[in-house]
Amino acid sequence: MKRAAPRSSARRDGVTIIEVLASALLIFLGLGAIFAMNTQSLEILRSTRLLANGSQVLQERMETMRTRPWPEVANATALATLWRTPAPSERELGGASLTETVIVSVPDTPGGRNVDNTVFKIQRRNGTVTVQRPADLTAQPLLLVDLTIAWQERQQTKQRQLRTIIGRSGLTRSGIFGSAFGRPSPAISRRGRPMKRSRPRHAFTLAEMLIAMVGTSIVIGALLFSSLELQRSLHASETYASSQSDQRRLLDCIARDMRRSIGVATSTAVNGSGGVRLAGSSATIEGRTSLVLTLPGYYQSNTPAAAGYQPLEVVPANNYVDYGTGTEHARECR
Amino acid sequence: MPVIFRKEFVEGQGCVCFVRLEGDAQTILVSHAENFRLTVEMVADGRSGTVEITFVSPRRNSETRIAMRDQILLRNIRLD
Repeated sequence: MKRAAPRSSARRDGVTIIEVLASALLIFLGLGAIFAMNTQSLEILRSTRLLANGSQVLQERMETMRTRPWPEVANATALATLWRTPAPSERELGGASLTETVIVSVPDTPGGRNVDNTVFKIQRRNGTVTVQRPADLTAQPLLLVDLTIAWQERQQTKQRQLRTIIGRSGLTRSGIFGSAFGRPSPAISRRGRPMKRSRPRHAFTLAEMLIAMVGTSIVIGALLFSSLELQRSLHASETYASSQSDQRRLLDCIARDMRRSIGVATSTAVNGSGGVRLAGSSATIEGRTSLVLTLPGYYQSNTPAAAGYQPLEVVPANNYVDYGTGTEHARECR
Repeated sequence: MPVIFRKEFVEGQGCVCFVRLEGDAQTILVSHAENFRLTVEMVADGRSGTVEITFVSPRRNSETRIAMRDQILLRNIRLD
């Protein structure tokens, strides 16, 4: 009886070094991609946090200016003294070569009347305040204030800007320009290293194929999971920045009306009638509860149907804000 | 002159918004304000108060409320 000779196939005994290297390369590529994505995600989150802090510093500066007497904010030397004190949120930006600039000018009027080109400019760089252009605008009723903050982040200059009109009567208007996601981000090149396919000299066995498929599936699954988490993280970061911007705008609008109000009340009626005055108590504005602020009559008429009635809109359609004197108009700054 | 701040559903936007009403003029301050909460607290003499606005953190499974508050001194104080 003739015995069958054993097949001399070395591939059944183990995995060749080329196959091991190919698998290792694949795994390293996958892990490298995951690491790079996580690093990028953390960097974006840090950048978003710094942008939010930058806006916070600007808002604090603006609030400080609003609370000071007019001669302290309308004069370059006096304002420079005020700016020697750092904003409370400045330390959260770190020591990243911080530069704050304020440019104060007289806002234009719709008809180009009473145009005054006087401007003063103050800069605060790393804690040192310099008056770059002195002027005294204390005689002006309205001032256009342009605040800018800039800092260095990974060899790039990031910047936030806040522009508002302040008046001696305290009526203000502001808007935060720029967005964490509105400005172009630095281009990041994803270096895809071409994988050299080591063509095996022999066909793969079924076991090798299965092992390779399982390994590849794990790597791809990890990449997909990481990518999804990254997407969620970016979406949450974007939502956070947007919500914080809305939060700041809402607070600014309510605070502006509340400062000049003569009464604060809550009401559950649709037209705000029958309000309960808030004094020594708090109220949450939810459901049917409204916050009712009673403002002094700045207009020719307070009756909506009467002639001369001009409500002060938050975003006016005619591109200017009526500050109530009937003659002075300030152009809306966007 | 009453100015009303309210959180209500606005049909034109299709979502809950924070609106400001002055006379017949309605201005939408914040759209998609479902997660926003406005709290106003006034001191006993009614001359100053604190406005606090919070929203729920967008992180998944998070119930943390991100708060921002401002202390307001009323400039046109009533004498009556």
